[in-house]
Amino acid sequence: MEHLHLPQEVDVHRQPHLQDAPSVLNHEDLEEDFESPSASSTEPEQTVSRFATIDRSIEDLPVTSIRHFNLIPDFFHPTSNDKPIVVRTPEGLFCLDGYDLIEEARNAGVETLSCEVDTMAEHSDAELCVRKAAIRSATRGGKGEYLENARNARDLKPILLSSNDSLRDLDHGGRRRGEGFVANPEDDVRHVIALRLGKEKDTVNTYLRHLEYLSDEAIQFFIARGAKKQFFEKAQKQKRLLLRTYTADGTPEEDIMQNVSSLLMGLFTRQAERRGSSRRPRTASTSNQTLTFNVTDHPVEPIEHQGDEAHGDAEGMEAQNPHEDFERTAPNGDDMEECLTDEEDADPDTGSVQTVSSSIIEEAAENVAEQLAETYSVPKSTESVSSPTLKNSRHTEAEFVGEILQVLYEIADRYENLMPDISARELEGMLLESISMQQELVQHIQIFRKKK
Amino acid sequence: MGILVNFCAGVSEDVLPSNRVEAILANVPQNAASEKAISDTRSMLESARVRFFMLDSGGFQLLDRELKGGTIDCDPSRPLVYNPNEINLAPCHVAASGQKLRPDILTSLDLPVLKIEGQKQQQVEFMKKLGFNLVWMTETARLRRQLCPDTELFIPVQCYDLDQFGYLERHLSSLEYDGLSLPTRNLDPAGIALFLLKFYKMGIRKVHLLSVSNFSGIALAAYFARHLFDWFSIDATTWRKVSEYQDYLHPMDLKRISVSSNEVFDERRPLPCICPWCSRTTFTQIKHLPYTDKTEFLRCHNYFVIESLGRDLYARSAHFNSYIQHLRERNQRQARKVGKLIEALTIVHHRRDEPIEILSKVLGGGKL
Repeated sequence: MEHLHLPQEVDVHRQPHLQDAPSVLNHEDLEEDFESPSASSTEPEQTVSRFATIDRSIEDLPVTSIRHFNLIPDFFHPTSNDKPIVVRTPEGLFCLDGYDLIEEARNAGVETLSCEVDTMAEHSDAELCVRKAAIRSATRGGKGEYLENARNARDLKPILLSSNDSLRDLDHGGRRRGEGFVANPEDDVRHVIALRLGKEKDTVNTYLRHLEYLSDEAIQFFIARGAKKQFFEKAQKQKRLLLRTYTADGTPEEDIMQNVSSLLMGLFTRQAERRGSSRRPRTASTSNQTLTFNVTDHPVEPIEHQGDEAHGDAEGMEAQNPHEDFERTAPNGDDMEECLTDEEDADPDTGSVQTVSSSIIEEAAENVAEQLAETYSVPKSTESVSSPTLKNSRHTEAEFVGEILQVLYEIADRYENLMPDISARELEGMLLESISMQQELVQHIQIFRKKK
Repeated sequence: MGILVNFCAGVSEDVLPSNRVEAILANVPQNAASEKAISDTRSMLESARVRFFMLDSGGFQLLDRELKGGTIDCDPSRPLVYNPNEINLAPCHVAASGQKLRPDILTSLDLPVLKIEGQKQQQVEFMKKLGFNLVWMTETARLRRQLCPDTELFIPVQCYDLDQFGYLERHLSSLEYDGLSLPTRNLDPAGIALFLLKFYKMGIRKVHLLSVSNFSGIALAAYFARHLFDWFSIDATTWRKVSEYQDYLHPMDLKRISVSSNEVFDERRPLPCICPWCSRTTFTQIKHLPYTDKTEFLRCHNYFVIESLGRDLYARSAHFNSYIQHLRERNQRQARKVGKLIEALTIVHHRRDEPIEILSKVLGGGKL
């Protein structure tokens, strides 16, 4: 039986070159070790968490003895690790990632399986939850989807709040253990989650906000389609407007959840349709594909809300208040929101451009595209615009049309990726000019067709 | 008995503090400087389902430019201009905006007097602005009659004391207008009370107080709305500004409570508010909201409590003695300030029919 012990001290937190699975390498500790000669004077009992990893090994374990730890759900995509990650506690062996490998082995009648094993001296469900939630943030098992990481952060909150273990014991265990706690459980839990997931506290707060009023079904929908943070940031404005209305009206929480979930799924689907993605629906084995459309099993029509005003065009994502700058001296909200430094998430603030007539532009683009598609029987956005199946006599024409369609989708993309340094007026003019040019081209083609 | 209307100012569709806002105050430079701005304003009014809409001329924006620098012009031959470097605003722009946006109330164009101390300096400042103000109120009144006769006209009173007001009063008698609006930045509660008594004695029945959303201002407005005027309105952007500074207004006395991210709250301390927004959260949860969401939350809550305070104080102001008692009990934090307010209101309540000269004396010339 394979049983490799990695050379390792008992207190893994004192080994800056090793990452304590699955918590995060703490650069502050590293710096302190390097900079402070007095660092070694820190008393060990203050630095070692009760739930620290005391041993790490690769072992062949009997598959029947490994329990599926699912207080935190399994990740949608299979682990990229070739071995399951298992934690041994006094209560047994718990698989945190790669349980599908264990199931495969079981189904194949294999008795033992090589696993990465971390050993904890004491058992703690909360600690196992934290480890499982962090396992993809710390890149040990691959990368989790944005909403998956968010959901895990959210799920950790009640688990940690109700845990009998001291929150300080769930800290990272570095020499600065105990720092950042303020004796308010709500604050301290967020602190622990941020530390253990290796995220900024603001990122954790944003996670929780983005998940608010999303049903489990909707969360699954977005995870399966690989929805990115940018989508939720843009959609947040629509969500805020909805919540303003619902809260003022005293709408029941369940209805809010249903409507917010439907709105966001609808927005996502329409965005995907607009982009004309030809990509297939995500499966666990096509992990790097992005979203598609026409694939939802869920109702995606936004449910009509009670106060129907103040919502505007559902497609008109995060455009900023044109008067927000007036008389204000406080920092811009969306700028602040974008100050997140999370590596997975950094992107320019598409919401800072003001008052683009998004619906006009998008509708015009769609109309032209449909007009073209109808006139020339060009395959719609689900298929390649330069499909070789078109007949020779119309091949050139179709290519031409394909190019136009391509431009139209680029326009839509450009709209999607507005840079804050382009003024709204300039951008609107630019887009309208592009669309008008395409419309002229369509007319020319129509005239050409009639002449033929 | 009149009505008290609290105008929500400094608002746009994106930052509406509720799905229904009873009264909105917009201004000509920001809300009517282009077709787009006009269309956005209409859309905002529709979204908010407003009952009252007031269009301010943009005196504040002129003052702002005066203080911050930039070109100020009032050329009627040029279009309305409002950008960070320049403002071109004339009575014709104000009346034309009124014609397009059809507000319930339009304010005539004014050039505000600065907030300065010292009688001499105030006199100079008043003299400097008087000519503009007399000409502009005359012009706006004339154009209002031509372009938007269905809209009521309120004339801002830009002066520091009743002596200065005499010059305006003589001119006002020749104008057609519906009410007066009074900037409060230079006045104590006693000073405001004195002006309001003067308006009352002139036969004015509709008054607007500019930039009022503190406890004393609302309490004073509630009393005057209830006992002296047919229409009494106030406005402020406080609900939005304090939200941007991450401050939560206490519903009792509008005390500011910071909910910025470095505050630590005792979780046993419940939210003191019954608004629909507060019913679903805690101080710590508010604190942890991302900035934009937090600001949105605070805008809704802060507007709600300012509105509620106005409604509550108006309802309680019917019985003077219990009203005074309530003010004392409700705001013990600002006992001295509230004491001065109560002193002024007591004089108004018991001696309002005495000559204004005597009232001016007992009200300390506007400073108790």
